[in-house]
Amino acid sequence: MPSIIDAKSLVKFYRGKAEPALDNFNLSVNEGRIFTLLGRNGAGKTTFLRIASTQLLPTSGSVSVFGMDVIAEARKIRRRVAITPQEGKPLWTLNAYDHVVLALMMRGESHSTAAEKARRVLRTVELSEVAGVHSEDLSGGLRQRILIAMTIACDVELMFLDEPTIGLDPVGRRKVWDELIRLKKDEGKTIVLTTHYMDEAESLSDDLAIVDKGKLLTQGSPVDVRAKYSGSKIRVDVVSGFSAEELVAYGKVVKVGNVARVFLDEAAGRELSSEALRRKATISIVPVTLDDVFVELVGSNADEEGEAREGQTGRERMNR
Amino acid sequence: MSESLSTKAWRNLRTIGALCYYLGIVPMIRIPTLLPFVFATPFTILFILFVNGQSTAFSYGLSGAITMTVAQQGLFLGADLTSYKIEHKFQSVVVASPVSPFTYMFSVAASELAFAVPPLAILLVILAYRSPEVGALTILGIVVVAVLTWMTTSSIGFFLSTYVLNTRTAFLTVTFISIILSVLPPVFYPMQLLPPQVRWLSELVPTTHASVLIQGLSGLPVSYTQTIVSWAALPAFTVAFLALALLKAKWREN
Repeated sequence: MPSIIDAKSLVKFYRGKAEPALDNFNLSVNEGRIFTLLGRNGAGKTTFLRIASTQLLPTSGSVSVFGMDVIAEARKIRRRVAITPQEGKPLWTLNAYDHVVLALMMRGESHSTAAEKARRVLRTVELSEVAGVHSEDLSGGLRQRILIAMTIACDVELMFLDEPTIGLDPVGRRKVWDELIRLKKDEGKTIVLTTHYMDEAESLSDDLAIVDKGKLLTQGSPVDVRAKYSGSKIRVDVVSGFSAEELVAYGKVVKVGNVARVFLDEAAGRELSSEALRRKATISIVPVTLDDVFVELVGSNADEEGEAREGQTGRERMNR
Repeated sequence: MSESLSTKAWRNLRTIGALCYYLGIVPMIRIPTLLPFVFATPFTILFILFVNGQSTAFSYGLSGAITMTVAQQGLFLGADLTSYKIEHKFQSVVVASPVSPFTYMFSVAASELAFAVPPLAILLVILAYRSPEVGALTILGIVVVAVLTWMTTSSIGFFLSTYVLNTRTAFLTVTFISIILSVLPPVFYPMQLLPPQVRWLSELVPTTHASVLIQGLSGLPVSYTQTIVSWAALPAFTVAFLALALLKAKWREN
């Protein structure tokens, strides 16, 4: 499958900052896939998205999109991409319909074509009923859907969505996921998005990359990434009945709130569950999730950077 | 396959039309209460000159109000663009699209001008009512001056918007520059009232020339030499600030 985005040795320093936002960053995104960038705030996800979508200049290194350089051939790239910016706000005097028509006419569509497309896309993202309401009178979730509708309506080959489902309710999020999956399957679109939601990355992505402190930590399908980094096959969440010292004998223990997460293999899992049954302890057995891999990877990266505090789990560090 | 020139021109016209309509005309129609904000300052100064009772001062005031209305709207482009860029992230959507910086600047500037049309129409009607000798040619001349002023101040506004880092600073900067351009120099009063040693300073301000030209066109006494200087200076300022906006403004951030 040909790659649609190729970043090589990409470095980005923002003015006045000593640390790079992207540091020798290499990444490729294949055509016709949904690709997710995962990372903490300030990890470099948005910086990469903005460079690849020709909004921001890199300090060094190269990025090609459709085989074209983002600096030298930005104008050609811009015809074939559209973006949903992070924390964008619709214009307060316009309604959802106006926004989509404006996004299309701005790209040279006639008013009649734009109007027809706008009605169709607004139906798809379930904004038809509020299409005529000023955006200032809509909820945050509905406003976010306007921005997504503007991007989808442009009907481009490559879409960049920066935290597109932030502020959406669970039903709204799933509607957006369904539409993105449909765009990929039925229309062959390539979608690059950033998110903090692990379930979103897991449900939506064909491929993902975990980024931290401007560095690419890993890249692959959610299944591959899970398999690569979870040495353990299962996770047992222990709520009560065991002390931390006892659990260490079964596997690696990570404390998350009142729950001790034990990462272990199947044999140790069987042993621990039998003991839990005997003690009438409260436990649940779940597969290792992307969330666990993320905490493991990003947590260990923070350790390497000397930021970890003794006795804290990766999750605790994330929540600081 | 490359796009033909006519297709490209037609596409750009649609872009300009859409941006101007949705960012200027639609808000003006839907929220007409925004209009008094455009009228407020120039008409307040004009009102003071009116109640002062001096007919000549009021005539200069009319030239000043026309100049200020247009200049203010051009500068407001800077504040609005900053808001579109920082608060709404609308400019990000535009940058990552085929719309060029010039088309965007021109379209949003035109949308600002739409707000200036009603007060300008009122001012021109007052001018025509007070000076029966003002004919179509004079109105045309004033429109040309207004367009040059709008282009100049819009370029300043666009340039500022690409550097200003927050909306609050943008609005304060624009208000400050608006006063510098419209109140201090001889925009609402004749240049002769300035002491000779500072008169040259006012020549460095584009709105001085705009107002001087409107004063001359509306029958107020302006020397022939000053008229020539102003007809040369105003387009020169327009070209210079337009070049500054297009060459030095940051479109893609670095």
